[in-house]
Amino acid sequence: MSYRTFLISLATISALLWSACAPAAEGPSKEGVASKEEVAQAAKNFQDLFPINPPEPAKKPKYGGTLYGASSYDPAHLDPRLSSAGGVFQITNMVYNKMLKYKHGPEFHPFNLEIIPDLAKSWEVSKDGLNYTFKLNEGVKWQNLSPVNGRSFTSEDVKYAWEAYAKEGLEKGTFADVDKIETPDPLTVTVALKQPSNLFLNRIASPYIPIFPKEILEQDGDLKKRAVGTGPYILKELTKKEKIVVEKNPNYFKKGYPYIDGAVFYIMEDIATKMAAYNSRQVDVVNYLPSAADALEMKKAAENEIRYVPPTSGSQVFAMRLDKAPFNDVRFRRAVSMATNRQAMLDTCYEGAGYIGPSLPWSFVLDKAPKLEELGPWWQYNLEAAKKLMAEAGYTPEKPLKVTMPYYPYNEGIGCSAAIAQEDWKKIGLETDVQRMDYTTYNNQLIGRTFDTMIVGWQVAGQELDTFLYGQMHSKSPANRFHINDPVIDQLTEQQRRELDPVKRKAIAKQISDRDLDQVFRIMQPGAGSFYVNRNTVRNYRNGQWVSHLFYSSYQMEILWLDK
Amino acid sequence: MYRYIIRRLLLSLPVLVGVSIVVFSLIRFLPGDVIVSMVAQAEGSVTEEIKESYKKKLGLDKPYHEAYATWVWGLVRGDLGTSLWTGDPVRTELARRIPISAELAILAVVFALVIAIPLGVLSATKQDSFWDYAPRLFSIGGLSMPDFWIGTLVIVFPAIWWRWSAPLGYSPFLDDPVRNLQQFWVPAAVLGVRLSASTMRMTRSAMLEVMREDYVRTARSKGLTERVVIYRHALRNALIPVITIVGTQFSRLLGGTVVIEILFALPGVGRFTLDAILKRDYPSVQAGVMFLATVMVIMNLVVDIFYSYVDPRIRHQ
Repeated sequence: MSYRTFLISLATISALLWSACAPAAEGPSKEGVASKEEVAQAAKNFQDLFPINPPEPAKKPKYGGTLYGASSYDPAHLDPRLSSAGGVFQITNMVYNKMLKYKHGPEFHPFNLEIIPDLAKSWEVSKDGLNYTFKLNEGVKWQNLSPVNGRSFTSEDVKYAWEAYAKEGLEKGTFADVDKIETPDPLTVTVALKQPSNLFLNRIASPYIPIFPKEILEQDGDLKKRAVGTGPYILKELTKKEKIVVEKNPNYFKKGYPYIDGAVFYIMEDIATKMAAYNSRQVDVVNYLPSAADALEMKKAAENEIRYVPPTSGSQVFAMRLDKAPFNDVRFRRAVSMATNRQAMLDTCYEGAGYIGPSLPWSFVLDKAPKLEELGPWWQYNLEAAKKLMAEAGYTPEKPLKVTMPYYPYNEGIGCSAAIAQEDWKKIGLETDVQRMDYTTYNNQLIGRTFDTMIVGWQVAGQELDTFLYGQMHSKSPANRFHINDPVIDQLTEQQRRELDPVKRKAIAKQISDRDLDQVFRIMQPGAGSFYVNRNTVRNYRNGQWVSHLFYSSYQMEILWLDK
Repeated sequence: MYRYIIRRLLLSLPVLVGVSIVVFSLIRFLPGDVIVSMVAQAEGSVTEEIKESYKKKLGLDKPYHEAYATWVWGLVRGDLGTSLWTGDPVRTELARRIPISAELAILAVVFALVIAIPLGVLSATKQDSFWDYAPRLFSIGGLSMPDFWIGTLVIVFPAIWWRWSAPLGYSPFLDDPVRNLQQFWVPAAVLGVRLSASTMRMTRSAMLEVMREDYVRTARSKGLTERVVIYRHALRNALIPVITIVGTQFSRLLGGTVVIEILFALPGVGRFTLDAILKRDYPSVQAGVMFLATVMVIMNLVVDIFYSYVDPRIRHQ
C-alpha cells in the first residue's frame, strides 16, 4: 500500500466517523453543553433560575466531616498587615477573629452590609462620633498552640493588634484618625478618634483586620510564617501551591461552633482542573463556575447547588488619562461612552450574566438596580450622536486619535469587551491598539498611574462607601488611578467622609454618582455576574455583594456544616 | 576519562557565570515594579512612603553590583536567597519541587521510550507498509498536538464521563507509591506522547540508516535470525542518536513543563519559576534559571560520557 493510499483511506474513514458523531450546528443541546439559545433564554431569568439565597432545608446542623475545596489562591505568607491578597485571608479568616464582622449565611441580606459582633459582643458610639466602646466576649482563649498556649484573650490583645496595624502595613489609613486606644478592663476597649469617621466600624469589620497575638509578632518580627488565633479553625498544614489543612478548634469561644471537623483546600489555578476535581467528587466547593452555560448544565444534576450573584456595579473601566488632552475634554469622553455598546458586551462576552452601571454599587444609593436607560444620555449606545460629538472634540474617522490600551485578562470577558469597543470606536475617530500584558507590567502601569493614554483598568473596591467615592475619585487619593481632578467631586467626597447621618450621606453619594454619570470620568464595562457552585451537602454557605466565595470570605466556615 | 570530565566541568563554569549575569540583569530590566505589584490589591492605601519602606525591607535599595556580588557569594555557599513575596528560603522551596519535576520527567521519558522504540523499530523494519504508516501518523499527530490541549482533554472528559480525575494533593513516592503513581501517570503520559513522537521518528530514521550498513548485511548472511540482527546489531547502534535526543529532552522536561504542572496541579520547578517571573520574585527567578542551566550542563556531559561508552570509536578519540 502506498503512503498516499493510506492517507486517503484514513481521511475517508475519519470523515465518515465525524459525520456520524458531529454535533448539530445549532439547536437544542446534546448532553454535556448548554446551547447558545438556552443560555440566551436563561439570561432573562438567571436570578430566578439560580436564586441568590435559597431556603435552607429544615434540618438541624450535623457535626462532623471534612470539607474539601478547590481554591485559586496560593498564600504568599500569613501576615494580614502586609497584604490584601485573597491567599492570605482565606487562612486568616479561619484562624483569627475580628472585633466585628459582616453578617453571612442564610439569614444575611445579599446586597446590604450588616455588621455583627465577633470578638466584641457589643459596641457603642458616642453622639459626636468621636468615642467608641467595645465590650468583649467572655471566655475567649487563644488556640492551644505555641506561643500563646491557650492563654486568655483580653482587651490588651486588641490594643496591641490595632496599634500594630496603625504602625505598619496596608491598614495604616484605617487607624489614621485614631487618637488613642485604651483598655479600662480586660473586657473593654475604648477608641478615641481625632475627628468623626464613618469608616472606622466598617473597616474593622472587614476581612482585612483580624486580631493576632503579640507573641508571634514580637518573636518573629512579622506574621508571615505562623498563624495562631482565637478563630474556629487551627492551621494544621500549609504547603504552598498544594494545599491548606485546618482542623476544628475544640476550645472555640462560640459554643457549638464550628460544626465540621476540618477542611482541606487544594490549590489549583486552572479552571479545568478545578472543575475536574469537582466533577470527580474530590472537592465539594469551587469558587466560581466559568460560564452561564456551565451553570445551566450543572443545574441538571440534583447534587449541585448553584447561586447566581449579579454584580451591583460596573467592573473594569475603559480608563483615560484625565489629566491629558483630549481625555480632559468632556465631549471626547461622552462621545466615546456613547460609542460603547455595553449591551452587546454583556450579551456576547458575559452570556447576559451581568450588570451595566456606574462604578458606585447601586445598593449604596438606590433600592434596586437602575436600568440602562436611567443612566443618562451619555450611556446610551448611539454611534451617530457619538460621531458628531467626537467631531466637535476634534477627531473623525478620517483623522482619528490613535492610542494604546493595555489590559490584563482577569477574565475572558475583558478582552472580548475591549475588542467590541475597539471596532465601534474606530467608527467615530478613536483607534485603539489593544495590548494584552502580563500581570506585573499591567498593574505597575495601572496602580503606578503611569499608563500613557488609556488602559482597561480595575479599581479599588471594598465594603465601605468611601472607597468608591473619595478613594476612587478624590484628586488627592492615591487610589485615584485615572487622575480625576474635579473640584465638585473633591468637595462632595470630602463632605461625605464626615457626614455621620446615613440618610444625608446617601444623598451626597447619589450626587457624586450622578456627576460621574454626567461627566463620564470613567467608561464602565459591564460587571460580570458570578455563578457559585457547591455540592448540596454543604450547608449554610451563601454569597452576595459583600460576601464572596468561600476562599475569599472563609469566615463563613464558622457556621458551615455538611449534610452527609 | 576523569580528566575529560574535570575539563568539561571547568569549561562549564564560564557558561554558568554568563547565565548568572544574564538572568540577574534581565529580570531587573523587565517592566514592572515588584513593590507596586505587592500592594496591588490594597484599598487605596498605596503611597510612596509604603513603597519606600518595602524597598528597604526587601533589600532592593542596594546598588546593582553589590546585589549581584551578594547573590553570587550566596550561590557559592548554597544560599539561594529569600523569596521577596513569601520570605521563605528559596533553597527550601526549590528543593521541594525538584523531586516532583524529576519524577515527572523520568516517567515521561520511560513512557516515551516504551512506546517510541518498539514503534520506531517496527516502522523501520516494515517500511512502506501499514505498520510503517500508522506509527508515522501517530508521530505527526503527537508532534502537532500541543500537550496543553491533550492535557486539558485528559482532565476534563474523564471527570465528566467517568467521574474520575487524578488524586489531588501531592503524595511523595516513598510515602505512598500507589497514590503517587496514580497522580503522575497521566501527566507523564501526556508529556510522553510528544516526546515519544519525536523519539519514534529518530529511532526509525536511525534504524533505516543502520539497516543498510555492511555489518548488518554480514550478520544476515551469517545466518543469524532477523530478531538477533535487529535487536543485537542494528538497534544498539541506532540508539546512539536517540540517547542524545532523550538526554536533552530530559533536561527540558525537568524545568519546562509549566503548563502540565498547572493543569495537573503539580508544584514543580517549572511552575515555581514561571510564578517567580510573573511576580518579579528576583531571587526565585535567579535560582530557578540557574538550576535549569546547571541541569542542562550536567545532562550534556552525562550524554557525552554515555555516548563514549556506547560507541568505542568516540572513547578512543
